[in-house]
Amino acid sequence: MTLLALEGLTVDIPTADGVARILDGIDLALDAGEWQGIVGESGCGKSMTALAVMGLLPERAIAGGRIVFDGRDLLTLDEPAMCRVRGAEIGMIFQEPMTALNPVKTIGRQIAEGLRRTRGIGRAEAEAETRRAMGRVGLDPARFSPDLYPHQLSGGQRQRVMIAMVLARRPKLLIADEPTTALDVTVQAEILKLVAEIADETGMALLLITHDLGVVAAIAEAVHVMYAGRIVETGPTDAVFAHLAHPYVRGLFEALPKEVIDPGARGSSLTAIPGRVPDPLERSPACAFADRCAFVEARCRAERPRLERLDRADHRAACFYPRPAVSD
Amino acid sequence: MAPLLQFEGVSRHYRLPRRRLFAPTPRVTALDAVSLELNPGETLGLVGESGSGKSTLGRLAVGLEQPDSGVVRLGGIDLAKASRTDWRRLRRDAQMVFQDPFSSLDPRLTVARIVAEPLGLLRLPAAEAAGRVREALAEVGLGVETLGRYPHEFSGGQRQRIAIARALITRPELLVADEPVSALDVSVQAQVLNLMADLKARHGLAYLLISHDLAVVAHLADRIAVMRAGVIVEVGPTAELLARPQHPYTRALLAAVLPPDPVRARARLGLVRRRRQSVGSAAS
Repeated sequence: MTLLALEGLTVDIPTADGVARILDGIDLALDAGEWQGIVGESGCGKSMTALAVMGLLPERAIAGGRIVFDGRDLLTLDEPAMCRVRGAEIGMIFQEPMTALNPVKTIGRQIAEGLRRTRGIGRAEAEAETRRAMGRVGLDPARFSPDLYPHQLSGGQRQRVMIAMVLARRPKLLIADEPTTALDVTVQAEILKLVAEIADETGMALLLITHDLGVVAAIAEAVHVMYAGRIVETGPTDAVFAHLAHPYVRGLFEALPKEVIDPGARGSSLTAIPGRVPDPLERSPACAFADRCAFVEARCRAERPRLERLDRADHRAACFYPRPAVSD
Repeated sequence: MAPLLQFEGVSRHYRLPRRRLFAPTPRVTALDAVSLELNPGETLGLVGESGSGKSTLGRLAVGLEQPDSGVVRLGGIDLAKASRTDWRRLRRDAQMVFQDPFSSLDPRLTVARIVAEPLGLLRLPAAEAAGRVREALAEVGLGVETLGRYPHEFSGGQRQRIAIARALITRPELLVADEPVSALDVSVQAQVLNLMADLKARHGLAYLLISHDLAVVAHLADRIAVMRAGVIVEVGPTAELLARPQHPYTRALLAAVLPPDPVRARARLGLVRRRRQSVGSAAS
């Protein structure tokens, strides 16, 4: 059953030089309990997509299209109604847990607060539930008092507090926006695994937003690759990684240094993608990647490619000349 | 061959703010008796997590900080005993590139002036200095049209090129690069890494490459030193260290890398899903 559907989602931000189209027609459907990933580089619109779903777009932004969550179009809800969805039905964890947590409230209060508000339970019960949640995310209450303040914790521990807050409220959907990017490498894997385990135990759907192809490969069942405000390739994770059909997606993969994961890669130079991501005001109405693409043809500059099916119906790429599958 | 850069039992402590008025000032040990050598033309990767002391080591290498004990030698000269004349030569021979190309370039200066800045050391005639600026920009793939422009007009990758051009202008033997690509996106990161590899091949430049990202270090470095809590836990040739890591911490760092390959990445994370069948395998 579809839990979240984005239908032709657009986000425009007026600037002094004109209206910048930050999101340019995003379609995606996420089932209850499904884990999907959005991957892309800075400025591609992946975080803006998350903010749109949460109803946290910047003041000046104008959203179009539909965001259907559990049968309601979130774009039509007023702020009090959206407030009831946020946190209770859709949880979110961010890249930087220090800015997402309130520095002057104890972590115990912050976890319990949401609990009491959304589940309407009493103080004692909330306290017990808080301790349970803390224990589950690896903050053993014997060592980590709920009376600690966020600044007394490390980055990884703070991210655990954020996860405990989500766990305590049991939303149907968890949006995780670069949840491990600010953390040390060895902590990243632990936190990622914890997020996945919690989602698994609670049956939450997961929308994971990341720049890291390894992270999305490890977690997501389906992946959407974004470039310049559009989805350029989408499908089951295995199918997308096996094919890398869109030249941008192929390019992202080839630009990664691979010595650590493949000893045979030693000494080879990287295939960089020339140029830079176009400014939203300078994006081509045709293919936004055309100027950086090694396989560009006249048609790419004249017409906008739609997402078309490739080898299978649920794997699609927005390219007139998709790359042939990698054979190995 | 004499080492270009040499750390000998180098320690560095920082004082923390006092917690109580009469309590002793707490100290943290950023570096604890570190010994390490870098040969001419060699790329030494320094990898470690935040707080491991890797940036401190980089700052000591170019004299931005002094050690509390131990000796740092650059081109055979003990930095603690270097004379003014020595420093003039040292600043020419060792240059530094920082992580954040947004804060390391003065926003009020044109590219021409930013890149020319280190030339003050050399006291070159104006015409020669201008030639050097154009040459350094060409080295990093930037044209003369960029000379009169300001940092804000450039993307992150281009700014890092400008920072590298500024470092190259004195024709140094050693470039200390502290997280040179970690503020950049993957596609742009590859451009800068390729540029660094080119410069190494063309000029025999030595790098002290500092990064938290093992993949970046493994790509460029001839040798890798793994740091943790102010100590080098393991050092060795790149291929060997990757293939046969000896220290448990090196192994943990390697094991934490998630390959961009669903099957291997899932196996690395050791994730077993109980609730739901994978959509991918269900549909195929």
